[in-house]
Amino acid sequence: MTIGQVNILDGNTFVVCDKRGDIEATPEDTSGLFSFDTRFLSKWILTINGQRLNSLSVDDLQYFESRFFLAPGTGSIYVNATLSVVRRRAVGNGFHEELTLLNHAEEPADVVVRVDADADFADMFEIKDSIGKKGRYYQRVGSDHLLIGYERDTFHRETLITSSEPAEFDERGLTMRVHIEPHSEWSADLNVVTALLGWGQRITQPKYGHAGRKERPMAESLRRWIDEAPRLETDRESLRSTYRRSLVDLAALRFNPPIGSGANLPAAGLPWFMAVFGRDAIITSLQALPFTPELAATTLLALGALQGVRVDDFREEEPGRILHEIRYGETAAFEEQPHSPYYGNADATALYVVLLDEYERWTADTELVRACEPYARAALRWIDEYGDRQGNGYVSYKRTNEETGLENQCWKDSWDAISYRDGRLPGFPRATCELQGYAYDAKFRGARLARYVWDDQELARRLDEEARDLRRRFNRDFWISDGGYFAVALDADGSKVDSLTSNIGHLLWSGIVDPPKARSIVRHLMGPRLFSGWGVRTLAEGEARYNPIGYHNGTVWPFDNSIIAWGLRRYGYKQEAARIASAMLDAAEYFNGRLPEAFAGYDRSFTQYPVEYPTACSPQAWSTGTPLLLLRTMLGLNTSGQFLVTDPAVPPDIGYIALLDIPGRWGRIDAFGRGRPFTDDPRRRWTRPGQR
Amino acid sequence: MTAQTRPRTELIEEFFDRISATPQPLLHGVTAAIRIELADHDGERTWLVRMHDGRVHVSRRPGRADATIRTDRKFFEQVVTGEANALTAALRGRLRIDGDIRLLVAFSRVLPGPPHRVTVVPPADRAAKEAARAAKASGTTARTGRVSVAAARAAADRKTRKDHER
Repeated sequence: MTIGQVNILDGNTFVVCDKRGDIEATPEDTSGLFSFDTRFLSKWILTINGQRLNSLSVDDLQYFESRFFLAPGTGSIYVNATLSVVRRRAVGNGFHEELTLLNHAEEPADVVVRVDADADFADMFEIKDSIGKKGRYYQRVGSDHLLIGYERDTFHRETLITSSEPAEFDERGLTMRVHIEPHSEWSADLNVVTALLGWGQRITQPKYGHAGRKERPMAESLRRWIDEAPRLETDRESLRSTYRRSLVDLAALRFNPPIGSGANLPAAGLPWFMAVFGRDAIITSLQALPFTPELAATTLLALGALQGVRVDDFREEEPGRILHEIRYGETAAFEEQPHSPYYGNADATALYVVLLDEYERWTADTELVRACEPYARAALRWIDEYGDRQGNGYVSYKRTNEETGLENQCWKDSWDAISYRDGRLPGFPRATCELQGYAYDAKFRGARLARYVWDDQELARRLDEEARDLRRRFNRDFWISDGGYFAVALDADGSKVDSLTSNIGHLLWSGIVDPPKARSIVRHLMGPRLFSGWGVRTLAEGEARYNPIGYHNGTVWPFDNSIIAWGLRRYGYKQEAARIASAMLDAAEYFNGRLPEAFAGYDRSFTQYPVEYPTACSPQAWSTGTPLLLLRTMLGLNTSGQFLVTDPAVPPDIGYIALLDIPGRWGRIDAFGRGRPFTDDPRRRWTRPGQR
Repeated sequence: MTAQTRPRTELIEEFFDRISATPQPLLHGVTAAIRIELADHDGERTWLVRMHDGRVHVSRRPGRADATIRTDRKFFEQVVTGEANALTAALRGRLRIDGDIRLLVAFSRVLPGPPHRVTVVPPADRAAKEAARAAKASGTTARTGRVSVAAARAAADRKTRKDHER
């Protein structure tokens, strides 16, 4: 987000406004009141006696509530500062704004309060791509309301504006003429309510719910959320605030999908991705599992309920496939975009099984794991039946929706994210390496679930065998022996796509790397071509498409690094994992504890501070989850049967970390770690994959 | 499943007969009732679809429901043949769901996929695309039964239906 903008949100409803609380959207920017991927207010400008206001300060009281302190006048605030204006705004199904004017003068004040309002009902996708509307706008002005609507065939979206105080409504807003006694105040409650009208619904008079009345339960829910998470004690002040920031942001990003399970799961990120993404929800739930396991539970149930059941080329739906993205805007409704849901990803299905197993290890919630058994079985079948598009035993992708589908269906989903060293783009189907790691891990973990929870020994045996076979083939077919790393992908013709990428770190996490190859992988990850000093770059310096500000071609992604740190721990590279944690937590300090989606891949010695990627989302769920997973890797938290085990490797710039009341199958347990200097001990231990 | 070979009036009855005749594993864990109210030129018809952990019972009798789906008969025929998608229809206001919205998602799991999909392809291109599709479909046949059934069905539907009304 650009500086100067304020975001407040609740579920998929959020407001982006300036520091005065005003919304003044252009077709291309993201200011506005949004709900269900639709902009229900594109203009909301307050004037007093025809003058705009100056911002004195903004309080973000809660993520769903802000307060703006304002004074009239265009120049210095000292001119005519006998009047103060306070706007207190809370988001609900729309928003509620408490507008207060304070007259500090000895004389009574007569002022004209005006709010200009408009709604363009732009779809999020239209704002991204700036396309025109196909429907018709309408306004209805009543003595106590203004209704702004948009219709296209049976599609109706409406915004209703009302005021608690007498007001004159017109098609472009409302005016209130106010008399305030000396040293007195006046206030009005403005309500903006958004509505999606269904078949046969005709609103003749306002009968919407009251916006913003959820404030108290929301505050209560946030407090409970923080209370239930483990408590962090550390001598490093910034780590404490980063941790708190992460918990609050995760709470803010909790999303109750209207056609989902009815519970909360993490949305991907504000503002572009305030929606359910399969991959992002799963990764965030994995990162947050030791802290807030209920996110994983709802993610598993919701994604299961929306799992693919049929073949649909437009949505790229296939039986067993876990969705990529759901949207509720006009372009989804009219099937101009496929997100209803869109299934075009090749990784979330395997990651679903990974999350289910990890969830069971931590929580022992076998009831949920049994409820999700059919989903997990269907997911495991998808890997072999549909995921393996070439029949060569590797998961690959090739879009079936050639108009609006994604070309790259892995996490690096920009069009040029997967390339050869010389910059050539491979053909399709494309089998990226981390997909094979996820598939291996899914089979391996699926076997464990089959053995211990589902009581299906036959399936367990088969999955174990398939996992072993996949691992053997993978280490042979993807290995670039003269480089000492794994190809980022296999091309359609089987050639190795030979660029050096961060994807090899995910392979460590999945455990598919043969231990003798791990040391060389780690050398690359921590070497100067990949490691910037702030983290591991998506693409190594020196590759043809390397660009320190290329979305997936050289930037550093916090989430990517958290997975890599987890992978390093899995193979026993504690210090390297601690180095990544240390660098990421340093970077977080520059962003007030809120790691962005990505930052530039410039060398740390070159910029001194991490440069945020230009249009990155913030907060973004899997960046928010990153400090949590790094706490896990620093403390070496893991499950072993019924127990929580710890094996701390805390970087030297942190004195100590105490994480208290970690929830899990053991009840609640504390974990401690002390910072130790890095040594360059050449002896490396590794654990056999499966020993976690 | 070819919509045009049968009188369309029977499509809805056939669909309900089909899902209640056999267990529906895709509805495991779902126990709830949906009322479906379909407006027609001569009034309104109501069905009560009761789902009980993979079993479906459909009747015309009134009864308690956790959600109500409302639209017109003609459009619902397109839904049960897969020509129209229930979820986008709900977003468009072509179909309305009241009550527990999740039940629309659950119910849509037993709805068929699209018989075919036209993405504004000129006729010449379309023929070439179909040929490529057919080749691809036969390529996958060798590998797995599941894909081949779906692909063959889609290919058959593509041949029988020439246009797509939406």
